[in-house]
Amino acid sequence: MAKKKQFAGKKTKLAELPLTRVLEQKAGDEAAWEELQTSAATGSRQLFLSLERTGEEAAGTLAAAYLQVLQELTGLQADLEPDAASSPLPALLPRPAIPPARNLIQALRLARKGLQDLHRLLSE
Amino acid sequence: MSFIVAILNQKGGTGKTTTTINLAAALAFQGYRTLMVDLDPQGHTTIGIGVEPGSFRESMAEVFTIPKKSLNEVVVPTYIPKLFVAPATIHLAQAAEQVYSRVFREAILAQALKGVDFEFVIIDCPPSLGVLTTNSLFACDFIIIPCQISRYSLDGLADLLTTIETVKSLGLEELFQGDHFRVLLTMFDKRNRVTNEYILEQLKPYREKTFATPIMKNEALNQAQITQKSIFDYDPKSSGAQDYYQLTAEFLEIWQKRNSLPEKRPNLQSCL
Repeated sequence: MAKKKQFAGKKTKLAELPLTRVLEQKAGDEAAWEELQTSAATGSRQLFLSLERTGEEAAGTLAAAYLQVLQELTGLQADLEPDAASSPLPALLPRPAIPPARNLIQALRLARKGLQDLHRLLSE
Repeated sequence: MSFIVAILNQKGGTGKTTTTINLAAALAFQGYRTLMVDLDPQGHTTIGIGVEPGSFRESMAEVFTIPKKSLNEVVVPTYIPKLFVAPATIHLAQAAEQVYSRVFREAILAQALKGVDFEFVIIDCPPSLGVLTTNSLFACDFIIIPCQISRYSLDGLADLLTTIETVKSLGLEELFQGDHFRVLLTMFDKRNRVTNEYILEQLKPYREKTFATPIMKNEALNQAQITQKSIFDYDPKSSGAQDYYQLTAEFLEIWQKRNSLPEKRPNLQSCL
């Protein structure tokens, strides 16, 4: 067997340390946030809410949640009205100091799915 | 006020003494009054900088056994101007056994360091997590953890981080967010690609807490031990000298940032 394959699944004490887990989780959240930012900045979906510039002193958590809500609503609109004309996103989205909380992302995605189901039921 | 740095890893052979001597020598060459505290009963920092065991009367053993003994009373100069050492001999092992019955035994070194007049104090710790190591953890402002590219080093690092958390009474987040430690990769050999990949992947969550400068495997560092000189004196053109110079620059940046000092790039010529 190749040497490298034999390393698979071999965990060190360091990997099991609570600090390492906290750091890995943090890195995961940051990566998800980066992905979201990139898609927000380059996407062409229509924004139907006005986006006011968030001042530097604004609370990071609120700004992160706001941006996440915009993302989900934009995505929902694109799903429900794929033929609607799109307008460009604001050139500069404010970057809050912290990523949105994981449970907020999950809650918004659930809400989006619920609205999609409701729309389908009403259209039938 | 001194900036006290512990060079620490309970695993043996990770490059603690080599790092102590060469980082301290580089700081002294930069003009900083620097003290090395040899806390290893093997006394390799003492011998490694050219101080022979018969050339001093008192050592770290006395600091640990005589109450209220100041470190100033045992410090001896080295051949490098501005670089001093608080020497150790094998008697330090016995002294460490004796302090187990003393109250506040973890604070003996911190107490002895009060009033010493050095800009940097670099402590070379023994390869164990005993009372000498907890003393250095208790006294220090910053920890450098030399770590070889090996599985056992990572396991050792895990134990060490747990000990640091306990002795410094820090929570998980505090340990990471505060500027308390850096991992230093030592004896790094680029040719060991498969091992390097595995170990670096494991260390990924700690990348912000790892020095950007790894110390490459370099025979000149070994040879400098034989000559009892720093790498900057033995072979200033070696990769070992370059690596320790880079490490010193990175270390000084951390120190300047922590103390809100204006950034001052060290002068390479003063080391090499």
